Amino acid sequence: METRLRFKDRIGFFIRSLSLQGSWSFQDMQGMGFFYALSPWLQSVHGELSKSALRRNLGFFNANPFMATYLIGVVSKLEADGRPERVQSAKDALMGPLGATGDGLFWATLRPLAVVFGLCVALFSPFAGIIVMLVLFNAVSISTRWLLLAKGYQNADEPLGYIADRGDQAAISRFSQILAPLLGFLLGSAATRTGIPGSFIALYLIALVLCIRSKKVWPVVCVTLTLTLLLGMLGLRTQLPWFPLN
Amino acid sequence: MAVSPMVALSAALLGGLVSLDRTAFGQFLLSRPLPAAGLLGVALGCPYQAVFIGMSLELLFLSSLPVGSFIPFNALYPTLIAVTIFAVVDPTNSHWEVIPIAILFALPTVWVDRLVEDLWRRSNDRVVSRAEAFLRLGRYRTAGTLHILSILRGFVLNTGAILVCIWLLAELAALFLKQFPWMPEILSLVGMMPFIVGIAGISAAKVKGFGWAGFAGGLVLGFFVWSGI
Repeated sequence: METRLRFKDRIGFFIRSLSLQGSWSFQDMQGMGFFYALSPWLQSVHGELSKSALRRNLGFFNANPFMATYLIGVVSKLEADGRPERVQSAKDALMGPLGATGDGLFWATLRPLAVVFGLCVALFSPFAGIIVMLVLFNAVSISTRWLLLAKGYQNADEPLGYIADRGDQAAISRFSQILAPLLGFLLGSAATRTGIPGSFIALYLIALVLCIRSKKVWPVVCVTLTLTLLLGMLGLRTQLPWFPLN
Repeated sequence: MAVSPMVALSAALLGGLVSLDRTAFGQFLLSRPLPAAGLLGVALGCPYQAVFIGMSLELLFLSSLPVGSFIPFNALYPTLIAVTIFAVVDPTNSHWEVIPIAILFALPTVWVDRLVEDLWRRSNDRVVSRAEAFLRLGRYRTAGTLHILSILRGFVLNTGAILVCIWLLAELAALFLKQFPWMPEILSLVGMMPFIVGIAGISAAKVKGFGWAGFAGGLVLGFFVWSGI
């Protein structure tokens, strides 16, 4: 059997994996979607789908939708190599790590990062902000989906090893740290251009950062509410380049 | 009638289509408030105001994460409905102070959004059982079709729910503004716009475990409040 996934098969897996959660249910979660992604491959490998092949690949499945393609790659290789007895153990071993890593990486880190970055750009150009947000998130998520398919296929013998060796999440976390200075720069520029005393902003930000660092939510609420209410009372209106007030 | 059938239908159809991105197909972030508001804003002729609504709701729902089987509050319905309310009650697009009222009226639909998602997921239990039965009979194509039909059912469910919400809430908002025409003026006087974004900033700052996101949310808020470029 080939050691690399053919382009045609890879495209097929990729497109079908987009609807991995298409029939998400509380019973099997993504089980039906996982089977749907694999079914043409299983038919081409086995000719006719046997009951045992159904049993192996149908049923409960839950992983992060962006990283599940890795498992699709692993299972397709195991089925093609005639090692179906390892399919269930590979699914059991990988579902948890792929779910945990993927959720942390995409939902909890990359999505807020893309959103906040998009919001910053949207302050200057609203539609550029939307594009930046979509491109930032989808460039990573789509390429992950695509790459992990091949990686799963190549690492079917030792599937856990590849996932354990990845430092992608750490890299993303490090990347996310540039956000705060970037935003600080933006804020500083705005303050300079508007001539508003920087000390007010500095005080406001210091209070906010201290509150967030101590992980106390209520002080953040109080500080922000008071300041926004005060500013609102003073009649300071939001003014953006594309915001036609005053 | 405050909202024309054409406007309601176009908003609902767009909403139904974009709602698939949330779970059923793709997850390209098109169902997030900012892109969804931008798209609908262009369609309804109020792009900038729509983006402002999208930005506020984006910050407000920054911490909603779809992890495992948990269905988080999603801001898609409030976004689409707030943009439609704004387009309906202010066809001239000149009264930005109507935006907080539109958001206020649209916000409770987060529960409808969650309810529809839950309903769709529960109905999929039956779909999966049927599909498995077909597979055991060797009818692979039928099982695959059921999987695709499930996505289409999500589209129909969401389109219908958004349509009903738009009709009800746009009428209600128009009636409210007719009864209390001074309300936008008051909001304008006390500068409710930064206040709305302020509340959104607080929500962003509440993101658990990600100090940087909260920090960034606060910074965007600060920038919003102070900027006068």
